[in-house]
Amino acid sequence: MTEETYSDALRRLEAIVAELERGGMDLEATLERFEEGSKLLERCQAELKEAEGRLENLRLPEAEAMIEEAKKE
Amino acid sequence: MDVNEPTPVGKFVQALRARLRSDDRNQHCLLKGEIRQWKPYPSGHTYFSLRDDGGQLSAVIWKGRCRIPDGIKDGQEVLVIGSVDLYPARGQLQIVVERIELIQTIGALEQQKQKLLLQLRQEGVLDRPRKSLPSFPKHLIIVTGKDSAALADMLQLSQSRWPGIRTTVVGVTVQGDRAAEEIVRGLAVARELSRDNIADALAVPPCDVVIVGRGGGSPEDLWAFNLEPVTRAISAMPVPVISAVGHESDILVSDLVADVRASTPSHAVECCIPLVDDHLAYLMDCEDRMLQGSLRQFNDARQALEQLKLRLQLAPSKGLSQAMRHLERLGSDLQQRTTSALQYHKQRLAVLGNALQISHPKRVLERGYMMGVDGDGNVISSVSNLSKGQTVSLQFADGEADANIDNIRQHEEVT
Repeated sequence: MTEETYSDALRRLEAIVAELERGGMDLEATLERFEEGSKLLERCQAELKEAEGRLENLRLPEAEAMIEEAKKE
Repeated sequence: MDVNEPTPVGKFVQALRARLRSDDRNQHCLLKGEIRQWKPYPSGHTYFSLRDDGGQLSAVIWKGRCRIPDGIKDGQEVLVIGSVDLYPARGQLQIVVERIELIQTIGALEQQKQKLLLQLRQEGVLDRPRKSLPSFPKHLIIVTGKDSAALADMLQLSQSRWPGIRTTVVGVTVQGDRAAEEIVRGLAVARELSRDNIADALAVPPCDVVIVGRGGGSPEDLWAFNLEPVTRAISAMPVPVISAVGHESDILVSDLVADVRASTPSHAVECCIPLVDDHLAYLMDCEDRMLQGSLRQFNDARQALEQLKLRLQLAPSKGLSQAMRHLERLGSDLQQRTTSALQYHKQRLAVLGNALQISHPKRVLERGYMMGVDGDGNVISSVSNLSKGQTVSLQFADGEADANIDNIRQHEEVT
């Protein structure tokens, strides 16, 4: 799976925040980090807000039948 | 009853039965003894004798009236709860069983549990590294009692923490003879759902966390969670498993092999489902810190540039003043680029902040609270702001209503 997960994005964002807070970077790098951080932030927020929760309340035989069906595909 | 008149025996037995049954001391007695002549009848009733060296008593278990332990047979010691009765047709005193349990059950089971623990320890199962929980699970599987109170609690809590979580419940039997087998099968479903190909076929995200558990109960009720097949299924799960059995005393083997041990099913939900509002607030904090950090960097750079400028102005060389102009250009260029980026993000931060503030009271209202507002539109947060006869507006999630204040009772202040 190449898709970056929320926690990966958050970890990277936290690293960027720490780096920016520490300071000592040149302006070009600061701007780059800032832009990368902004993108990560947007992605994290979207992940939280747009996630669509669904509930499947199955009994054991129904759940097993569902798996069997999926295996046939 | 006239002592001189003979009493028909049937009538006497009936009266005796009534006297026996009316005495509380004969009701729900706890007895201990050995089983003799254990005999289940095709009718579904079971007859046997309970005996020890001091005496014996006939006993009957009416069909379906209580759970009969597996493998019960003559010679076993049992605990019985039952009420004394007289069977009039034969004049036979008997105990009508309400509950029966093998005495060595817990002892023998405890030995099995210790043996299993020893074996798991030797195999390194207990010391294996634990999988950590995802901070935002994509697909939670709950293996627990179908339609149980524990399940209802978990679903309600999970909904209030993060409505975005996808959940699949596999409802199984969690106590009795079939429990272990069904829990293992439920965990097998979870294992399948953690595979990419199965999840793809069902168009769901792969399962990335499992809760297996049930509400509290007696040690026997919870025993399935001490059995080898269940503990093996937990330790073999490719994704993290939370053991969530509500119990207070002994630790279960499932607790020891799971990746996370929760004290109750609700606690399990707290362990694996994030409070989404906290995370949104945290992200806003990150954004703020990022802005401040960048801003400081730019200010530092600007200051350094100013100093350089000052030093260059003092220097006579023409080449140097050219370099100074170049630096000045670079500085204003950077300032322009960053100011617009910062401006944009500051605006977004304000918008986000508003969104969070607006959404919060509404969410509270949706839970059934209401908010009182006075004629000027101010929120009433204390009875001291009210006067008798005043009309206030009660704001609900879906509308509002006017109300008159009849009485005002202020609580005494707690110091």
